[in-house]
Amino acid sequence: MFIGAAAILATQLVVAQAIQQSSPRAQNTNAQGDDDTITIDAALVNTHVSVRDGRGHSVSGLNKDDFTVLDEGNEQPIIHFSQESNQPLRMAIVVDRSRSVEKVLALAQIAARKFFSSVLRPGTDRACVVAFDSGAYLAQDFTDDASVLATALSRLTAAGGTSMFDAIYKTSRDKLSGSDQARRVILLVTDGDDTTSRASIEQAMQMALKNNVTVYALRLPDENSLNVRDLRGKPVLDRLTETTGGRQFYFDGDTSRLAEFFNSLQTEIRSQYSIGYRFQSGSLARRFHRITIKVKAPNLKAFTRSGYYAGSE
Amino acid sequence: MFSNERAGKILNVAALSILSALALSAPCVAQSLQSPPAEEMLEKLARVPTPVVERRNLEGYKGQNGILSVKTLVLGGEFRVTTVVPFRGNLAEYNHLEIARPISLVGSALSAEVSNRQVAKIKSQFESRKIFESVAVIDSYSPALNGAQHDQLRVEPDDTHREENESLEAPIGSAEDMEARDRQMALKERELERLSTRTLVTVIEVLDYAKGSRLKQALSLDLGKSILTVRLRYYDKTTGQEIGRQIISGRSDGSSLLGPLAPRDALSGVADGLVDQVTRRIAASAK
Repeated sequence: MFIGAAAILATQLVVAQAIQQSSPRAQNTNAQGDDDTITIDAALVNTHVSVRDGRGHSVSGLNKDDFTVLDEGNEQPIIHFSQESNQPLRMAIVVDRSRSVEKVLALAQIAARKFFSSVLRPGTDRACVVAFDSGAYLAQDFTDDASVLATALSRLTAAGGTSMFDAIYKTSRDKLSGSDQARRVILLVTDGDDTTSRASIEQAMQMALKNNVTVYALRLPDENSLNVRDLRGKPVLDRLTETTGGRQFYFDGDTSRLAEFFNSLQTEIRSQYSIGYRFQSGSLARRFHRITIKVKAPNLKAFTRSGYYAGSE
Repeated sequence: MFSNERAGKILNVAALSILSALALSAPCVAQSLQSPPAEEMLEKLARVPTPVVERRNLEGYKGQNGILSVKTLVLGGEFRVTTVVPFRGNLAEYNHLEIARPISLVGSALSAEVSNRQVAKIKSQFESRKIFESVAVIDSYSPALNGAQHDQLRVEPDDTHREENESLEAPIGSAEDMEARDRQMALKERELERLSTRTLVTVIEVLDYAKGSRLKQALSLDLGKSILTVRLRYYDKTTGQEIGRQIISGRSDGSSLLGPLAPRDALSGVADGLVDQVTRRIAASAK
């Protein structure tokens, strides 16, 4: 009996040390406190949650008690809850400039310009432009000036293959990493047909999840497809957006519908809830943790990233 | 020198006995002897629209006998071909032809007028065959210069680092990287375009030329021969690589059926020889 209890205690200590090692925040906390104290706050998991009704409209005004949070199927107590509409945004508009969208690149440019003018709040939000073909390029670094961003977009020309996963991977890693409280969003403008990436879709999603980046996609018509709505890119973009808590929109060139999409996107980003909980030490057994968030009210559905990597929180 | 010389003389005698036939054809012959000014002819040819390529018609092409053919026996203008450097590659891959103006290695013996007339003859014959999308006359061609430009296009320094820049470990590229990539792509596209529209260039060097005299030919003393010997170099325009070399000799000595009144001269023979050599190689490749 004594041996069994000692074994459990030893296991808990090992797991607790693993938490400390996997988290930079844990190391900072530990350096200030008592050497014998293990601070579980280091493993706080924060996630942004969108709530939509049956017609896809964003729902605001809910409180902490309306949500249930499950980590690997285990209910977790919510220790942080807020709905901050003024939280700054860090956005990267990632534009496909490959040959497959050559004829619709102008549409992509229109879409991106509208996005900046309708969503960007000068002085608060910042955005950058990333273009990709077989490589990923920062066409314009972070700025809050929509006209500068529009100029960068207008310079884009079509060339090469489609390394969409590489672009998401590198943008998340190089431009949207960091520990500030800004909401990080990628708006992907593409036909979704990746052809030349080094990274797999899993690697791209992993990097986005690690940096708490939500991916939204504006799907462009594929000029090679006879049935433009039945595209190879759609399931890929579905997976990318749903895993990171975003969604996709099909842009057929109708700018009035585009405005509608941007309005709903803006509302969604501004009305997102921020939910924080601490994971249990026992759940470190697997590296990837699946998050499920449920809304208790009927006909409402919560959308968030599919999970997180324990070492990155 | 020519094996059919004796036969030609016999035919010449026979020609005198059918003067009536000659009388009927006299206006045509006279017209053929009065060549229009070369410049005018070139201008006229330049206005001719680009012919449609009809290489399928070459399936039954068997080549032309430069000495013993009805054409040469009746109208004169025989030719002989010696291949100095055998042809490399496939001539059927060339869609365009450029003919450089002849280089005279016989000094002033070859006048500009004769030179232009010769080029015009070759150009018109190629155009009537419709085996090239375009046939153009150029002033000169430098294989070394074109080859160097081609090599410059092939070696693209940015390309060597592309793999490195696009690897997953590499940081996101800059706007300058994107511009460099655009330039690189534009160069590659241009090169591909050049390769897809391959141009064959013929450079003509005149080794021997004698205008000849129809009056002397009429004397039947083996005098007054019209002779033209050229060395032809064939180049791939893009790479500057020589793909073949030939010597073609054309001759007209009044030994044909029409004798000194034969409309064809040495220039016609050389033009026929060149067109035949290129055509038969394209026909062989097409098969």
